[in-house]
Amino acid sequence: MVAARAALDGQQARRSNALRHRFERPPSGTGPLDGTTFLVKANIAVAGAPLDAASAVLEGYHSPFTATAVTRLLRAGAFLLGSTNMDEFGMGSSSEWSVQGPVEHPRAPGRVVGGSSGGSAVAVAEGWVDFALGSDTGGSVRQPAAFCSIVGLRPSWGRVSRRGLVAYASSLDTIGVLAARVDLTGRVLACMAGPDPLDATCADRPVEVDPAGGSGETPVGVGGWRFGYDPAWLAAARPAVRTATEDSLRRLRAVGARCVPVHLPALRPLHAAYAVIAAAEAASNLARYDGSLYGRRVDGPDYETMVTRTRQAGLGPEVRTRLLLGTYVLTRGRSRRWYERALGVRARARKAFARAFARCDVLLTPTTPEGAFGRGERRDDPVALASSDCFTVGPSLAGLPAIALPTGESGDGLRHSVQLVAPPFAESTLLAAALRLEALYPAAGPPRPTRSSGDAV
Amino acid sequence: MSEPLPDLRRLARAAGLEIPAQERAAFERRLQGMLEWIAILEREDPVPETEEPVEQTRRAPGDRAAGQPPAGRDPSLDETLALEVLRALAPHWVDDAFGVPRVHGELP
Repeated sequence: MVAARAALDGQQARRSNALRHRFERPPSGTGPLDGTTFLVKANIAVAGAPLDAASAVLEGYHSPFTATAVTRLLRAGAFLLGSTNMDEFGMGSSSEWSVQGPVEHPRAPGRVVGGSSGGSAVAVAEGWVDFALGSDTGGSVRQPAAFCSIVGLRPSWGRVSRRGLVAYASSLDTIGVLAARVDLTGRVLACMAGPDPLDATCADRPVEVDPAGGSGETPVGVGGWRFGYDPAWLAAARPAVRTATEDSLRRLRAVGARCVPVHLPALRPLHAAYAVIAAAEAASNLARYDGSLYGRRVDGPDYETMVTRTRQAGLGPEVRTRLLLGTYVLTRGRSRRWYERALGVRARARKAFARAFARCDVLLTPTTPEGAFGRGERRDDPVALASSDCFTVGPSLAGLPAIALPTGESGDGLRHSVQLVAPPFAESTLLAAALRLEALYPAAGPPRPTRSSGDAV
Repeated sequence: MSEPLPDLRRLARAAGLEIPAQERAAFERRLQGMLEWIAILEREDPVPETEEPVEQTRRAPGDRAAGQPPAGRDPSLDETLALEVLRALAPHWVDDAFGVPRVHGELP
């Protein structure tokens, strides 16, 4: 605990800009997470703590209640140490769009940490805390996990309560876990999953997320396991990423797994459908930030002027762009052309994933088509910015659980990452497969932190 | 083929935003990029549009008897008494929770 506090208050943490707010909440019970420390993304509610989703429009707002997921983690023995920086309202793939400024990549200066849960990823990769919570709408846990060489889990939609998560796109939003290793990721998920009477969208299904990794047992072999992959998805990745993903398949085959080619939904329409649905839901969800209920208000002579001035002053360019797109695709006469068509793509994608799972236990894909890109490279091009989510949005649209985990070295001090995807609510299968793949990369995991001499440890 | 860029001032007003003149060109570029991107849906999605136009996805409490869940909602999570009650009491809350966006009217 002392070391974690010192690290979070040290120079390296300040330089990285990965933290949003420092506050502490001790455990409220004892359990499987005794002795662990964690942070939450700045869009997850903790009673009495600032909750602003890294947006000026929520400046000064403090949550009156604690998110169900956080309550359960505190009850399981974990110690909360604050919140992390992020892309405003979760919109972005680089953690450059925060009212607090961009998150710096401690291990790859000049490159992005990924987003939107970039602060959470850095805090875990640097070893400041044992794990962190993020939110994953279209890849916001998995993509920064990939760029920071750690594990990032998105649970099935409905597996973890969203009460206390600031809404972005409600049919896609999930609370996910970032940790250095799969076993802790599974333990955290097991503690926070399950039905919640305060969230009607949280599925009333038993918690079957004991990954056999939760017990710390050595994973058994992969004999009999079927890993599905789509050659078309692999071809969409940069050569180095494709080679690394093929290496994962080769290692799995070498220890007895079957690697089965499957046909997954075409990437480009899937990605476009995600853009439409997420923007449409965001336009609806963020309508509540009008200056009358939450956070910042810029007064005007009438209500409409107050709303536009408040939103103009409080919302950043990336958010405003998506609100414009979301409003546009929902206007009368265009909702059918864009929004409903996108829903059709989503429905067909769900069926395509289901067909694929008839032939395999889990899917294996690259997590991102490339490694961490340069800071500022894509700030003015939202389409290029979103391109690094092309492999993660599909499972999101289908409500599937997915996990990103580091594999071989990428030659730049970081690691490649692959994504495993399982059928809905098959987190046990997902985590068991991830443990087995992780075991094939014994050196994987984030490089240990090297704290500067100015930091107390 | 993407649609022509809409009138940014009117669209912004519908979104509760105001784009200052000095930012207008940048936002037009960003929005144009997004519209070209989503045009992939028409170019590369081979399945025709659904036949049923949906002019309003927000349902009044009594509409549930019609049977079909609103688009975008997971039907498996839709058939509980708790939801029925919630929808009757607070339909806006339920639709927000399930990610059913409001369809706007004409641009002002």
